[in-house]
Amino acid sequence: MRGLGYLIFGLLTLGSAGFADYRGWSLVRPAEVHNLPRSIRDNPGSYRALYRGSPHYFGGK
Amino acid sequence: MTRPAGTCPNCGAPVEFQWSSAVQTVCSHCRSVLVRRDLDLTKVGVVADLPPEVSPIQIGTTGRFADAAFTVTGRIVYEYDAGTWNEWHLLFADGSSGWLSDAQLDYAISRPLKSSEPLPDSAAFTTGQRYEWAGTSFAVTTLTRAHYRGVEGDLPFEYWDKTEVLFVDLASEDEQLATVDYSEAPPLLFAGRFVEFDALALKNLRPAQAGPDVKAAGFNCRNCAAAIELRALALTKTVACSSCGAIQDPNDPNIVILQQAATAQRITPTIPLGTRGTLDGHDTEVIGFQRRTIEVDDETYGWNEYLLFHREQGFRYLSEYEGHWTDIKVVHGLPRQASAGGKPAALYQDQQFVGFQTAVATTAYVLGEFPWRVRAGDVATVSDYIDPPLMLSAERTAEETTWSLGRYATGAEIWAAFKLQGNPPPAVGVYANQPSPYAGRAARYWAIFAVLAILLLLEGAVRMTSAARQPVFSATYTYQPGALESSFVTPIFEIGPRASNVEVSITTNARNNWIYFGLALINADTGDAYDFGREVSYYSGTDSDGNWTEGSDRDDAVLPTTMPGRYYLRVEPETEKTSPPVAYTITVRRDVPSPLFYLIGLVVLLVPPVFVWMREKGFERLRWNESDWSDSATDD
Repeated sequence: MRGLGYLIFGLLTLGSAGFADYRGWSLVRPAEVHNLPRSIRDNPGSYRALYRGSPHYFGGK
Repeated sequence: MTRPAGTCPNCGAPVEFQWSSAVQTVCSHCRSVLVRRDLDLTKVGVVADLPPEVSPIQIGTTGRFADAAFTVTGRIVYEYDAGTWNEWHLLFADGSSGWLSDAQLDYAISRPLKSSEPLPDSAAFTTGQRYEWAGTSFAVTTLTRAHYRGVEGDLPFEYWDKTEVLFVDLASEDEQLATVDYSEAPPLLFAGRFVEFDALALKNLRPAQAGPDVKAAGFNCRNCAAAIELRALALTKTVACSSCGAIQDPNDPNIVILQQAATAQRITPTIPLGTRGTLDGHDTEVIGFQRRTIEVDDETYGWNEYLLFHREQGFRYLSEYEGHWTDIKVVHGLPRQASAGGKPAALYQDQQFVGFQTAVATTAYVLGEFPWRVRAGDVATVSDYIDPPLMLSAERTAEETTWSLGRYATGAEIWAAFKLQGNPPPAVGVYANQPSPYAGRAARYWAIFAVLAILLLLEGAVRMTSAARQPVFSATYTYQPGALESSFVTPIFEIGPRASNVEVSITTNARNNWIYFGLALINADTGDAYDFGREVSYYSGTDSDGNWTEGSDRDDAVLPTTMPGRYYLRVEPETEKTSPPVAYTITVRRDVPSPLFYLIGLVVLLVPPVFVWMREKGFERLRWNESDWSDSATDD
């Protein structure tokens, strides 16, 4: 029976890794903005980026 | 089958031989030794009183050895320094003869063996010397000068007029034995093997209470007059009074005090003398106790040894050290010296035992009965070799080397075996042959890890090949530096059908230039957005080292879980106002796989086996810290 716990733990880890990748989880998140007005589509210049000139999110590969 | 029969020429009692080839017998009425010559019986002597018998074997006992049935027909009794022993004559079902040696309840069966070469002169033998007979290599273990004490029953030859007889005993690694018997000229060679009592399936044994068992089943201490009971009877060579500690010889008619109590300090055995228990399914009784000590680095370490007795199984020992117990039996095979990883080792029955410690052990205190002449102050060089839970030990004195094999036992097991009250003393530290609770666990964990790692790799590979990587938007734009308003939004595109990550990649024609993109992925319906930025810069040139490049003309960003819906990008490029126009392509893909979580999974999977491996190593480090061969000891 010894090692069964590790086997179960390992299978859960495998499942978690696959699920996280499938769902697109990330360890870091970009800044989130909520409830932007629809007018941005008509006037893009009215939006002020949070990190203009100072990009904090580099979630590149 | 007709058995030869006749009448005793001395007393006229009827005499019947057990089998047709028997040559000598003893009249059961007058104890005359009778020899069959042609058809006549001749009295050649009289058997003196035989020593008190403790063996469970008797004439008429039957058993099996190597799938052959035998019957005990007679015996020769010898006496030597350590006591008496019997050579029981065995008549096998096929009419052949064999001998069952029974020395202090150690058993061995041998048969005559023809040597292709003349046997050496007795003076040529020295301990440790090797000889090969019948394809087996034997080493000389002991040279025993024995006194003939008498005979009983039927024998296949005349044997009645002996006095002192020399026996040379040899043993092999696999518990075979050879004996050169110098009672005849030329000497006789016998070969066989040591056997366990149970393996002989003996029947018709001598009842425990029958016969003149006891010369002194008990006596009063010569020193303090306390009552002393003998449990191993005639096998006991010395007994230490449990009241005053005086060591005495119960076989001496005058019961001489051999040694006064060596120390005023009394030691109370954890298991009291006389305690009965069951080990390996055999009843046993604690009959002796000794405290032994060794000196290591000017420190004295002591342990207790209990002598256990069973009427048929013989003697075994229990050692006790700070709550650790070892159940020990003497072995008869001759382990072979070897080495293992720079440490000494012993090979015994194809099992390797690694050298742990060699020290001079001194008997500090004794109590109860012993089948050898024990004294406080006795010294022996003890070498321990381990393969937990087993410990192979060699105990060397000037006269002999005795090998024993011990198996680790917990205090709880000993308490259960002897039905002792209370709780056993807690075990302190790690003992030499204590089995590691982690033994083999790390290997098992690593094996499971290998399987899981392969599964993880497969899972990642499947994911890498089956992920959608679905392009949901792509467009090419040109940025004119200095334009009044650089920001714009893309057309709305669909992301779905399920939540997934989103990759935004940008490819430019920037050369020796940089361009920064302020980006926002905006849900057209909810107004929720991810705000992020990317900078693309690419430079190249030539210097004294040749061509060089720096940066890249493309970059990408991966946004985490994005719910299905309608989205657009707000894009705001920025570069030097003097820069030429920069063309760039923005591509948005959903469900782009990443190896990150599989790498994290691999690290997480590593944690348990690494942890168990470290615990296993830590346990072994504690064990070997006490060894002659610990890292610190070998560094010295």
